[in-house]
Amino acid sequence: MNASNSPVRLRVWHYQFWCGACLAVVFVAQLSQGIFLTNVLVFLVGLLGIVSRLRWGVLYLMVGVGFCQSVHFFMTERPTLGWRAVSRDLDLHDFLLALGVLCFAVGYQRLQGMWHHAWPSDPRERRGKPKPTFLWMRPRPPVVDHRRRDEHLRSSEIVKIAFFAPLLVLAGVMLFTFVRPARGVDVWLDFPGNLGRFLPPGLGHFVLLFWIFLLFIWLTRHVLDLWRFWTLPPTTARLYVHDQIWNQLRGEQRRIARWQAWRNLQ
Amino acid sequence: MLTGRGGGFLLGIYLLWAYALLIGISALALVGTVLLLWFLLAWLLFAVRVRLAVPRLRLERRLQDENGRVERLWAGLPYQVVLRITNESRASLSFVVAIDRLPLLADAETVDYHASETLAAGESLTLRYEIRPLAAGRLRFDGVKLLVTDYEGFFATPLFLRDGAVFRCLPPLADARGHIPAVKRVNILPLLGQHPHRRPGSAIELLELRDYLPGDPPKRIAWKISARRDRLMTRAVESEVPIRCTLFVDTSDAVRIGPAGRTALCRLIDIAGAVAQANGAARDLTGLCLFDEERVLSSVRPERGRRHLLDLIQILADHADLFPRVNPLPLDQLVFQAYGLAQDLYPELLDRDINAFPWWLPLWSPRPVYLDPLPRPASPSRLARFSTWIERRLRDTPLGWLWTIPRRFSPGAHRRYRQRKQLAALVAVLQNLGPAAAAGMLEDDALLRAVLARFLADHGQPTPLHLFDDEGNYAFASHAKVGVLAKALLQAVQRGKDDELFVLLVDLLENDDLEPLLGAVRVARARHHQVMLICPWPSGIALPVKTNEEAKAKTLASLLAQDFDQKEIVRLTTEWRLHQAYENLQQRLGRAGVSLLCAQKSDTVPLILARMHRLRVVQRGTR
Repeated sequence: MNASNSPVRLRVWHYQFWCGACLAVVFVAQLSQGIFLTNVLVFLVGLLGIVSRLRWGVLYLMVGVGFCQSVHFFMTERPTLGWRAVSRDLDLHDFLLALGVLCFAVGYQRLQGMWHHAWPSDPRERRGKPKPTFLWMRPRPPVVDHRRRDEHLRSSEIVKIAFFAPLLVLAGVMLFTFVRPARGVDVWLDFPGNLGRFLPPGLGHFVLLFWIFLLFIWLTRHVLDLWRFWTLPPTTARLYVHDQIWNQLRGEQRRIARWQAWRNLQ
Repeated sequence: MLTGRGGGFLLGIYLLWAYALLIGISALALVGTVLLLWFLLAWLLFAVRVRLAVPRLRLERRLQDENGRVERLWAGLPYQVVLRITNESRASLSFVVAIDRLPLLADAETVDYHASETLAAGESLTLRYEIRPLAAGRLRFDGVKLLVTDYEGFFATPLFLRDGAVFRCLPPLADARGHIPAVKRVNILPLLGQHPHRRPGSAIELLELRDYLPGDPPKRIAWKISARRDRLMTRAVESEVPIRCTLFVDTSDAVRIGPAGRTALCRLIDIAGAVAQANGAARDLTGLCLFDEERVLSSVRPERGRRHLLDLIQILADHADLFPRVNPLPLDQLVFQAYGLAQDLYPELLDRDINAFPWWLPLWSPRPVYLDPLPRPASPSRLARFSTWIERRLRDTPLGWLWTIPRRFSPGAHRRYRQRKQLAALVAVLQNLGPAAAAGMLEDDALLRAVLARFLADHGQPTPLHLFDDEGNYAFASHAKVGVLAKALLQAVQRGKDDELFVLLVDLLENDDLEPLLGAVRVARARHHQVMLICPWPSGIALPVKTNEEAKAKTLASLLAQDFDQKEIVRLTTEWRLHQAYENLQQRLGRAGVSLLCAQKSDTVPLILARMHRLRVVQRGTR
């Protein structure tokens, strides 16, 4: 069933509204932390992104949130927790903040596919009336942008986000909490030569999460590759076998082929 | 494949996440972790969906006109292409852009052959557009390019759904001017005796009155005359013999040059098709002989009837889109073009995991210099010969190693070597050449050139041509075709029964040695046959008219003397050269009684038919 047959038609403004709602969640979450001025700034940056179709609006919002949280951390949390303390426990407003930013990012990136292009633009693919460009450059037809239109949108898209995003945040909270070193344990202090004093306190947490992500990527990639090789089409499989033969016998084949080519040339 | 948007987003969240974790900002670190998790899950979901759905995408193509589905097309008429891609898997593809790959013979200017859709499980994407075949030939639809991406545009993968559907496009239908008016217009079919011969037969036109001979049918006795002369007289009537016309169509490399649908061959095929149709309408017999510089490709004896006409037109259509076999293009350009085509049509076969190329191979063992063909001396001077001799001696010695240094370290040479290897492996598999062929093509230029030319021709991809070789000679003169044509003409004369018309649709402007053909023409003329020569004429060049040669040469010389546009000079000299060649040909063939026409003229077909009509009149007078 195509989108046109769907009982509820989703429009671009629905996504814009969705992003606005997520922005409000972010605002509320940070306000509950006691952040106000910078929080308003973040809200305005996010709003500007929704209204003016900025290409990197998500990154601006994340930088804004990072700035808010950094200011709050250095002004409020660090003096309370101490200089080399491990990060504090997560709270409900952290959950709300992550949920708001995640939903905003999902919605905003989908808006990019509707505003600008879903498939990366290919400068070789041009169509339409040539438009004048800068000064002496000759006019060229505009690059074709393959973007999603209203008729491509389905109402189930937003429902799925609303359902899966909290689950994903919950998974993130669990992962973050389970791999976090216990409070008061600073493993780096045992490093020889007092080297640990110069290392950041969250390095252990970072390294653990980093390796978990890396392992996930590595394993997934190998599973996908195995799957791919099991289901190769006949032509592709034959090419792969030929390539393996060439790889194994490259030296000998090259020597013989050069003699033959040289003989043909003479 | 990670897109630019996906890469930028990943970098941004990674930096934010690392910063937050290292500093210890819990809320920000959680945001980064969640975003990273989402990104990884999006990647996993995209990869799984593509692997599940792509093998089960089904492509269905249909060409239709206002009357419904068609299997055969006619050049110049509009048709609608309906393309349906159905996802028969259980996984859905978030966003798919389908771009149909148009055949070269289809008019691509006025069509929109894109469609985009979310392709959920069990759904289909339909693409409709109109095409108008430019000329006769085969319309090969290679398939559809699919651009698959996710909703966010983080990941994208290009695919190609191969189709390989081939539709035969027949020459355009002859217009009304091509038809000879029938004697009896009230009849749907013209009478068979439309072209009576002046010899006894069974028609209704009176030929003569002669004395009765035993065995004459009594109904032929002219009773009134017999009574007047007092002896039995018999009426003799004319025979019913239609005119026979044999078309000799040149398909050599010389007429295959040009943009698709606008080659000289297409024009000749159009003329041949129109003449065949007009002859069919007049119930005349039409034969066909297609030849190139090597042999007669197809020969059909003069026949008539609807089935015969369709056979002729199909043979013509099958030979209308041939590509030149001789291609003196530099191999690097050929590889470049073939690699671009392979990227479009076989992206999965160029994947580095499947078709690998060790990055160090050009460093370790580049292609040796002694496998390159030696450049010919530019002039037959002693100095040129000596420099060639020196080059040969140096390249064959250990000093030749120095020549390979650019091939080892230049990025351009590295790229060319990689493309060559990947193409060699791909083409070896597609053409079933065996596992050792790739190594051979990696070293042997001639082998690779032949294989790539076939690869490009199989996919209907024309290549840029160099019309003149290193020594300035025209590379497509095809001298051998004159002999083939002369032999075919003599065979047709041997088979001929009555006076026939032989129409030679041949490019002979660049051929000097016409003696074999002139001999065959003389034999045909001695048997009372008519011969016409239709010569293809390049578009953009003025048609030859009888002018004062000296005045033309003076104009050209004065233009050359001035500071004139270089392109204009080339155009004028080409025009002058072709006019000269045309007049020479006209003189030589005129002496043998052959009339010469240009294929570029719009009235070529009526002129041929008028000649046939004249042949009938001549036959009436001679026999």
